[in-house]
Formats: sequence, C-alpha cells, structure tokens
Amino acid sequence: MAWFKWRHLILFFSVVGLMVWSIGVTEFDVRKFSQFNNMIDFLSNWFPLNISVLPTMLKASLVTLGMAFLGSFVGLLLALPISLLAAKNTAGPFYGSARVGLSFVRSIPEIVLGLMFLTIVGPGPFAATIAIIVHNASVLSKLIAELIEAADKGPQEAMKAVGARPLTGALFSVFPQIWPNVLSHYFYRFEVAIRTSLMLGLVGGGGIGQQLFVHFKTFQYSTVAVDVMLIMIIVIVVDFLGSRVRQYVM
Amino acid sequence: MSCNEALLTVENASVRYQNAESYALDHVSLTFQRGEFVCILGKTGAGKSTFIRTLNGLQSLTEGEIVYNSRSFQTLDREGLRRQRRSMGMIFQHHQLIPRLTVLQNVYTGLFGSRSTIRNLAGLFNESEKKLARDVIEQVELLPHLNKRVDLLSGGQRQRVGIARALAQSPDIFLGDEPVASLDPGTANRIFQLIHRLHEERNLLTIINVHDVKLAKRYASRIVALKEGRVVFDDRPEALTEEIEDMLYEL
Repeated sequence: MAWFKWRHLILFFSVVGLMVWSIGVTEFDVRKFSQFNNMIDFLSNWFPLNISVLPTMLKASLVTLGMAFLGSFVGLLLALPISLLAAKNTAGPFYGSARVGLSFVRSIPEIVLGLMFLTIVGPGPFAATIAIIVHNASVLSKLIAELIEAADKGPQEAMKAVGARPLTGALFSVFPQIWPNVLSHYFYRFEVAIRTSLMLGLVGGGGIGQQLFVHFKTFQYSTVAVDVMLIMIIVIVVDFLGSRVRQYVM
Repeated sequence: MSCNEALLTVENASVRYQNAESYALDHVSLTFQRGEFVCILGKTGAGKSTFIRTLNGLQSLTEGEIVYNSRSFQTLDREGLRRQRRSMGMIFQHHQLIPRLTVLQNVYTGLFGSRSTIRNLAGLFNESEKKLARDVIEQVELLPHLNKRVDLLSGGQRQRVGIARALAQSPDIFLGDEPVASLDPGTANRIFQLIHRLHEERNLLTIINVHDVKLAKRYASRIVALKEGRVVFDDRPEALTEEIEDMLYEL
C-alpha cells in the first residue's frame, strides 16, 4: 500500500458510513423521480409570463438590489476597521475577544436577525437591510482578517524599518496587497446578500422576495415566473459587474 | 561628531532563537564609524541576516546591547526605537516594496517615520517632501518610471526603488540584507556601484550582507566575516586571503 496508510482506509469507510446515514435521514431516493410529470405540470403554469406586473416587480427588484447593496457595502465599511482587531498580526490584545464576538454574531442566522430587527423598526426593507449589514460586517471581518494574516510580511517589516507608526505601517503594508481579494469577497457577499434579501422577504422584509412569497402562496405562477426571471437577471448582472471591477483593480 | 567617534556600537550582542540549541549570533562586539563601507561575509546560516536585523532592532537581542547615537536600543520603548530607525535606511533582498503602489508612492513611505499618521493616511506631502522624493528617485535613475507600479518593474529597478525609499529617510546609516542576492552579476555590480556612490556623497555608515566575495573586496573599506554566529575576521579587504575564504565557506 504505497499510496495509503491504514488510517486512510478507516477514514474512507467512515465517510461512506456518513453518506449512508445521510441518505437515510434525507429520504434520498431517486425512484421518486418517477413523479417528474408533476414538475412539468407545475412549470407549465408559469407560462405565458404575466408581463403586466413587470413595472411593479421591477420596482420591487430595485428595492431588493438597494437592500443588498447597502447591506453588504455598509457591512464592508464596518468590517475594514474590525478586521484589524481580528487579525493576529495587527490586533494586539483585542484578538481573542474580537474573534469570539465575530463568531457569536456570525452564528446568528440572518433570518433570525431579520425577525429581531423587525420587532424594533417594523416590517419592511429597513429591518432586512440592518440584518444584512450586521451579518456581512461579521462575515467580512473574519474573511478580511484572514487576508491580513496571510499578507506578505516583507512590506510590513519594511514599514517597521522606516520607523512608521504601527497603524500607518499596518494600513500601508497590508491593504494595498489584499485589496483585490477584499473586493472579490465583497462582490461575493453582495451576491449572497441578494439571495438573503429574498429570504428576508419571506418574513416581511419587502422587495421582490416578499412579492415572490405572496405570489407563490396565492398560486399566481405566471407572476412567480416574472419574479424568478428578474432575480436571475440581478444575480447575473452583479456577478458580471464584480468580475469587471476585480479585473480593473488587479 | 569627530570622525573617529563610533556611530554604532555592538557590545556582546547575542541572539538565540526559541528552542534553538546554539546562538545564531554569539557575543559579537564591533564598533562602526561614519564613512565606513562594511561588507559582512559568511556562508548561509552564519548569522549575517540576524546580525543586520539586530542593528535596527528588527531582531531583538537575547544578550548584549546596540548603542546608536549614544542611546542603547535595549533601554528604549517602542516609540524610542521607532525614532532610532528613522535615520537607518534598510534595503532588503526581496525589496519589500508595497505592491500595487507606484515608484513615487513607495518612496513616500520612506518619509512615514517622521510624519503624523493623519498626514500619512491623507497622502499630504509638502513641497520640500515632494522635492526630496523626486530627488532621490532621480539619484537612482528612475525618474522616467516615477508613476509606474513597482510590480511592473524589473528586479534591479525594484531594488533601486528600495534604495530610493531608504534615501528618502535621509539616513545616517545604510543597512543592506543581501540586497543583490537575487540579481544577476552585472545588475548586482551596478546596484553596488550606486550604493557606494550614494555612500560617498552622503558620508554614511554602510553595512551590507553579501555572498559575493568579489563585490565585497571591490567596494568595502572593511570586511567582517561571521562563522557560526561569531566574528572570525574583521579587517581591510586586502587582508582577506584565499585561506580565510576557504575557511569561511568550508571549501
């Protein structure tokens, strides 16, 4: 067994065991696909698209876009300083508490955050946006902190050698290096925030997510189709925009 | 300061890394004067890099002390150490430039030690600082590349930016940690020539680690050789015989 060790074999069988167990609890059964006709039936109700709702839905999808953008961008602005307190090489004595705090916030599902803020500010996009801000600030802080920790130590040493103050040194030796990756994380989070704002629509967070939920519950499938199409367009546009910006920044 | 007064004194300096059995730097005592061009020789692992890095406090000592401008590094707090470093320009093997910034921006970072954080972050430089930056870039012959990003330059050009950044500090001391180790012999010679010219013009104390004995003999006014963390040779270049070289590099 030149390529394996015995413990690899044990590991392999453990993973197989885990898969078998998961198949059991998820009622995973390909035979159920014999009911494929149901889906065709369901999807056929989507057409023709209910174009008449397009202006209203367009407005709602812009609300979603606004929620996602503001939520993720303010999250990024908050994450930039916080990440310095959560990276081993720049945090100093704050490292432990910052990491624990971030893990705590990150572990709260966005939908729970949304419900919490809903009780304070009432239903609508504002509560959802705040939830997205809080969640993204914690996620991006952790991601950026990891970039800071992995940044090339050379320029940091050079800044020490010229006698720069620690804050100046950290900002100049680290951020120019990691900036493209920060943007890359940001655009990914922006995309995720769009999906999150759809979910938050289900609990009254407004935007196209809420419309989708309402149309679905009232069996207006031809309108649902319009909603889904608009959502797909938004996601694709944001993805395209992100890759262009990253290209420009590299 | 009279010419014979020591600018930098190393007394019994020792460094022992965590969990290491032996010293990386073993009770080294040396005195350096303004105007000296010192090359440090020794094979890989002899303690050259550790030695250079103790001189500006990038590496702290386990024992002994470094005295610069009549102040001992060992008694300084972080702010004091920072002030000492301001007048010690350092050039590194891998340049340690800030990627994605231009030549001019990288040279500006050499001024960071003597300015307020706010002015540094806002990128506010007065006329004399702007002139200083341009002047040092001109001295390393990079004026045509002033606004070029440093990651688009060649290795030799990047090292010139490193030198310009150190010059922007208006240093009394030039430290070099293998500044030409990654360059071809011709470029290495030209970089040494440049460092030597600047050294003469500004009457600096220059201390440089180098692998190439020929370069050391050509430019140094004094050669210090380390072996297993100890000084085994300290004299004028002419006194470095082939036998000593063989002993140094275990040829």
